[in-house]
Amino acid sequence: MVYYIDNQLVYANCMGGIEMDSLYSVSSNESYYIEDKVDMNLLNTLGIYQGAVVFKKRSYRLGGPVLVEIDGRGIAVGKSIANKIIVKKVGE
Amino acid sequence: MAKCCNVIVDENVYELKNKILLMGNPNVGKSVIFSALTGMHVMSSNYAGTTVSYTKSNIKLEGEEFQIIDVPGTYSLDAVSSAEEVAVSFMQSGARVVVCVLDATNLTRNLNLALALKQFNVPTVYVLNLVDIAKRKGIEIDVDALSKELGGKVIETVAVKGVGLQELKDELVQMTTNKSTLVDGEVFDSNNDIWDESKKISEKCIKKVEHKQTFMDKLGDALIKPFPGILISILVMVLALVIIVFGGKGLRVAVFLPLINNGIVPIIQGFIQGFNLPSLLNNILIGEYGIFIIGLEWPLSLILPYVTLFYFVFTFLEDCGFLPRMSILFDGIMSKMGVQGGSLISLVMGYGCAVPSIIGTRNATTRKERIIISAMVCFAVPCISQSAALIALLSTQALWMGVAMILLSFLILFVVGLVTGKLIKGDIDPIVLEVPNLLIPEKKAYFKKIMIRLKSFLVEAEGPMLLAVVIAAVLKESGLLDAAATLFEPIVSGMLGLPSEAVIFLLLGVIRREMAVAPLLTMALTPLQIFVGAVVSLLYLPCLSVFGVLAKEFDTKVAVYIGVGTFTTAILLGSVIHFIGLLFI
Repeated sequence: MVYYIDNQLVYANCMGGIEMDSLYSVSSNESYYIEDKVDMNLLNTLGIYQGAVVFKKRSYRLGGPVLVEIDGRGIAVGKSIANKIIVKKVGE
Repeated sequence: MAKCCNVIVDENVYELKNKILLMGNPNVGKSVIFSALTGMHVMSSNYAGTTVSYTKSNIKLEGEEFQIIDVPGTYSLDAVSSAEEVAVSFMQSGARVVVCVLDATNLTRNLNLALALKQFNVPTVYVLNLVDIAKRKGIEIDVDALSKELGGKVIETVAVKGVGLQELKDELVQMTTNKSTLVDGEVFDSNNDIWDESKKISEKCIKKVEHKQTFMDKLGDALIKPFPGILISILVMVLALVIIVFGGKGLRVAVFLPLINNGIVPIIQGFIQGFNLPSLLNNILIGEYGIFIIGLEWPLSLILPYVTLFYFVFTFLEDCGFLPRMSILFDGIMSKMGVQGGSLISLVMGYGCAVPSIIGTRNATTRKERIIISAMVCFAVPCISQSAALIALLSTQALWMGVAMILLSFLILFVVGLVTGKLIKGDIDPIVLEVPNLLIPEKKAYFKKIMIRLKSFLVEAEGPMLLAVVIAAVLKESGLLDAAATLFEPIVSGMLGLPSEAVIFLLLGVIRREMAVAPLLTMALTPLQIFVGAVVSLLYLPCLSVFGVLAKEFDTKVAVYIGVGTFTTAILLGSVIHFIGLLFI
């Protein structure tokens, strides 16, 4: 039982303490650091890798992708991947 | 990511000793440079992944024979996709020279590949392409500094306009005659290290200058915003349809019909009459429905005007960078059909011809998605030849019939997407797509591409078309057609409500899709019969070449499933429309 409570506590801490925002959910027209992401080679090579800075232009409705800008070049990333890319706002 | 997409490679090509490899990111202009160096035209477009296989051509430099190879574009050499595996194999097989093509508008990312290539220690010349667009975007690159950083000559080019290509040729001669010295490439541990190094280099070499956003930049941005992007996309598609349908009609009346009736046909008639053949044979060959008359009239005056305009419109949309933007806007809707937005390009291509469209699905990352798109194209996307015949058939009818046809085809598209998505297990990879620069296609390259497409249409269509016409004549004369008409009467007349001689459209439709429509043009049909005929021929079996490509790209099973599926759906839906129609008449 203690183990279970511990687990719950740890979980609660995580949710309350550290901001865990995905690229999909954060607001547009801001720059973000990539904190963590799914292991996908194509993302790395397009410039979406851990520690990189991306500028989010917008998310598209109806399950559409997120459009980010890297080095002035637009890249669309599907919703389900963008949901798994954890970001932190630059300057925070 | 699942590996499904096969790049077919003849292993012997690795053994060649005098290879010059053209390497670079997707959509940086490798194929344009290849065409310019070798005189051999390769299809290139303004989006990633046009070259899904490698292309080889020989050139002579100072008397020595070399093989230039246009390697499929890759972002890295990690060998995770089949294009990357091919790229790595080529590098490992040894080459005399590597031509590394860099996109000046996106230098940092392109340098990643350049640095990765350096690790193979092959003499390299760097081509800095698209410098004109870079200037438009206010990016100036210090070529000498870049050359120093990379340890190889850097040549600025605007490949589509031929700028800088002579210099590249001269450099290739230099490099292949003198043994060039090599700078050892640094080996990087991780993706991040390579990125850091690329950034360092581009910071040293790039000078951003103040620039005003040009009209094209603003339009490029607007096209990718939901508003007005979606509105513009729909307008562009409607405009494209109007240009093709009405323009094609005009072109047919003004140019192609006179050309056939007053030019080609009299010449052939004169030629054949010279042989003084018996009148029956004369009739079969050059009578009103003679093999040569129909065999020329259908492809040249009925189909070609529309094909011509389609390729004018499609090639423009393809090369200006519009389609990938549309893919992004419509990704949400496409995902409801079980595919991602990037596959929209393959679908649109299918309105030209299903064969390149199915081959183009190699860009999709999963087999599941490739099959879904191929099925959608086979079921509900009429190729341009068939569309032309359908336009001719429906243009005699009320406008609503054409509109109903288009809406019905979209509905079928949606249902086929949903059903195949359910039938095939597995997931689809979401979209990850780079937005290319928006640009006006370069005139010379644009017209050349259209000419190549029209030529290959004539070569590929004329033979089977004549064959189909000959088969039709033989069936008619031998009485086999009557036998088939009796045999299939329960289907053709009983279920579809068409005259029994209409069986010929089902027989010929196997050879080419427009032949599933054209015979209906010569029959006296009621509006309901015309609509049923149009729906059946839209859904009906794909042509022989499509079966070939389905079996080759996937397997016979997929080809058979699609064949049985399209045939059954065509007959069933045709019957349903026939019987519902009867209720209202």
